[in-house]
Amino acid sequence: MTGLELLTAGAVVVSTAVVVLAALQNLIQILQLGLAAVALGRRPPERLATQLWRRYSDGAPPITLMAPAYNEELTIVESVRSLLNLYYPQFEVVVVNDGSKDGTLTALIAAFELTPTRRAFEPATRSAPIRGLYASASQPRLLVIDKENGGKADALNAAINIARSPLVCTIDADSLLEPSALLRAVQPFIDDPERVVAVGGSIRIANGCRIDHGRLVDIRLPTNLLALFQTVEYLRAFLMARMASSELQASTIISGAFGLFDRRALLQVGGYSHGTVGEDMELVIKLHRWFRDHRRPYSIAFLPEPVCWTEVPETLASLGRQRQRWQRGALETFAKHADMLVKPHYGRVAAVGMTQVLITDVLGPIVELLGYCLLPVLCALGLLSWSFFGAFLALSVGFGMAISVGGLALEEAQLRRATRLADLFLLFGVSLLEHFGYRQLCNFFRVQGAWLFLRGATEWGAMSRKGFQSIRAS
Amino acid sequence: MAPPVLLLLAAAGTFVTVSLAAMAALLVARLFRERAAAGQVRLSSATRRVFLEAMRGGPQTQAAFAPLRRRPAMAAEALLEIAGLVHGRERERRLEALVKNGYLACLLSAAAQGRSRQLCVEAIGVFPRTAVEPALRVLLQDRVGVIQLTAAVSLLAIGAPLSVSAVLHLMPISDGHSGLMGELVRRVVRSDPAGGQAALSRSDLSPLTRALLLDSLGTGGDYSSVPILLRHVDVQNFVVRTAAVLALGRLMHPKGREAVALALDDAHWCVRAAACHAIGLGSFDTLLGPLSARLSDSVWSVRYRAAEAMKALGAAGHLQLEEASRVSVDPTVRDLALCALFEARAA
Repeated sequence: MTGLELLTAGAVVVSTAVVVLAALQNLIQILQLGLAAVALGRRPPERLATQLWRRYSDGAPPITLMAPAYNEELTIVESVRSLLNLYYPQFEVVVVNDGSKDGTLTALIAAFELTPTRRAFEPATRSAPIRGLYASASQPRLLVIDKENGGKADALNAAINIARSPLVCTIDADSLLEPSALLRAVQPFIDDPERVVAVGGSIRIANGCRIDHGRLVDIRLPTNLLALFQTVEYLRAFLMARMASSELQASTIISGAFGLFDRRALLQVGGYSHGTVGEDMELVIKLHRWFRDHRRPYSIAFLPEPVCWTEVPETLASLGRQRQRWQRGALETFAKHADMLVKPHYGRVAAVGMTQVLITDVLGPIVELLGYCLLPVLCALGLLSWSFFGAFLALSVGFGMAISVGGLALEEAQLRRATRLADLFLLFGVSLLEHFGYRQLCNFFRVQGAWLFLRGATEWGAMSRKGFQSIRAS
Repeated sequence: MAPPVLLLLAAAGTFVTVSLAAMAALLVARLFRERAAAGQVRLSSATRRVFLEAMRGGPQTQAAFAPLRRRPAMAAEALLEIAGLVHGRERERRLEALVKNGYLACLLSAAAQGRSRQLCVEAIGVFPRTAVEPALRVLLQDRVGVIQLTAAVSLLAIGAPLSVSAVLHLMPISDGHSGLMGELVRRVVRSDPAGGQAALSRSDLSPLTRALLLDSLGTGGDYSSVPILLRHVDVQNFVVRTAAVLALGRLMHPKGREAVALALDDAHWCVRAAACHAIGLGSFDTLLGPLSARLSDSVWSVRYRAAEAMKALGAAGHLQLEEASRVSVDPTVRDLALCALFEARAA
């Protein structure tokens, strides 16, 4: 066999793999859309907050909100105010200053008149030393932990140790919860307190929205194109993918920006793992593993109605860092728990959840990149059929468009947070555009993330934020 | 063009057509939804107007109530909101007007079917007992669990009696129970402790249901429950033992003291922690000695509960904590005692 023949055979094999994987990914998305539509169809219409209070406030267990903060001087005060204004009968807010180098702690002390305090706690999960605890005379629900820097997982572990409520809620210090989000998220815990161990909610994009005193007062779409692309992406991810996984009891992730957990369950798995940048995904997989290993009944749910608003990157540099980090997190988790794929007692978690991670996160970006690299090779070898390529491209765009419209339909059916008719048009237009550049860019960042994972990188990478004050001003 | 290419193009065309059609449908649905939302706002305003008219003693024509009768479920939310704000004779007058003008009849039929049944059953619970009790008793037998539960809550809201056995009939007694069902059981047992005591003699109760009944008896405050609680302090299941010990603490009856003292040495840490908690709840200050020994228990939760109980026991407990913070050889005990004292002083 000559070198050219070998190259040709290789190109054919790789292009077949690309087509097969693309078909598999598309099939997964169609199934997700169908499952999410069925699941959302079964859900009652979104209830008013007053209705939820009437029905659930008596049985609602206390919750500790855990907000780790690292260099969040710009947003921290407004975020904490927003948390303290939540519509829920019994909760406390534990903010963890994870060794910030800026004035995060000073801003908190000044805004909430914090004074040193003490609280007995068991160091049940591993965390860096705590330098001090602070309480506020004006806000008895607030407790601030000042600790040495140890990363997000470490900060959350410190908060889990300090928490005294049966349920703990993780929230990013730069995110805003809708006032009724906790009442909505706690419902599965009230309905089935013995089995439910974790509940995730939707994450929506706050760029472009008007925020006043820690409250979202006007929902608008972002004006930045990158943030608009991410809006469509988040709709698909939360209303389609997570809803479908939850329907199959195979959720592999609850976003670190907003998740509600049974504290006992977190202690049983030893809290968050250190040395990973995908601690939210790893925790959920760990919960699955522990409960299945111990043959205990459990349930991990996703609810679309509790909404958390977050700021997303508006520059290519910070988007790149974020996507690299997500990719590294997914790969780290997969590498750590890959054995679950071949052990039958992990059931749907392995067959559906981990397989999806394998196809979408592990193989997906690399094969897609190979596909792009293959184009000039096939062209040079005279193997590229331009008509086939054109038709394949048309199919990809058409399919992507259908899936995005599906996501919008789910949003319209359940959440209805896009308040203006023009917003629907704009999102539709963006869902067409994203296939020409944005998708390829994100894939490039993911491949970079995979490369960093292979090199053993551990750092988080900073994301520069405008802060909600700036969002409001703009 | 080759057949595979045509096939791909056909599939692409189908996806694009479906997307465009779906998008058009979404836009039309949005327009309809906006109209429906505006209608709902109008109806809520109409409900409030009708109530305000009744408050002013203005004319209450059948026509004024027509929008409420047409969409009883939509008006129910506004009714519940107003009923939460207005009480006494004023409220009765408004509700009488609603009954007289046929709204209640429409609400009762809406509670039998449709997507807003639960809301209607809740709204029924604001009407006078004589007008709605029979209908709520029928709804208590409904095949949908949440409707049964809401009917039971509405029955309690109108002051109708509800037996413990009737409530236990609603829940899967051999399994776990929802938090809302737990709350309902607590409310019913508090008002009917004898019923709760009788239910504990059943042999088919799961440990969780048994624990729930014991907990409810503890919060009920009826001393006649002490003997049955004492009987559950040494059963085999630790969940039941824990609930019985805690309930004895909540009842604060001196007869419970000895059982709580024995529970301090239970083999299961949950029971030991519950015993510490019970000492604080029951103000059993004569047990301060054995309680302070629990400050050095092998399980942190027990140590923490012991410190909390000492905090709750007032001056005597604080003295003991101060001593522990000074003389204990174990640094974790000293730290725990210091934290408890700090919190007691801050409070």
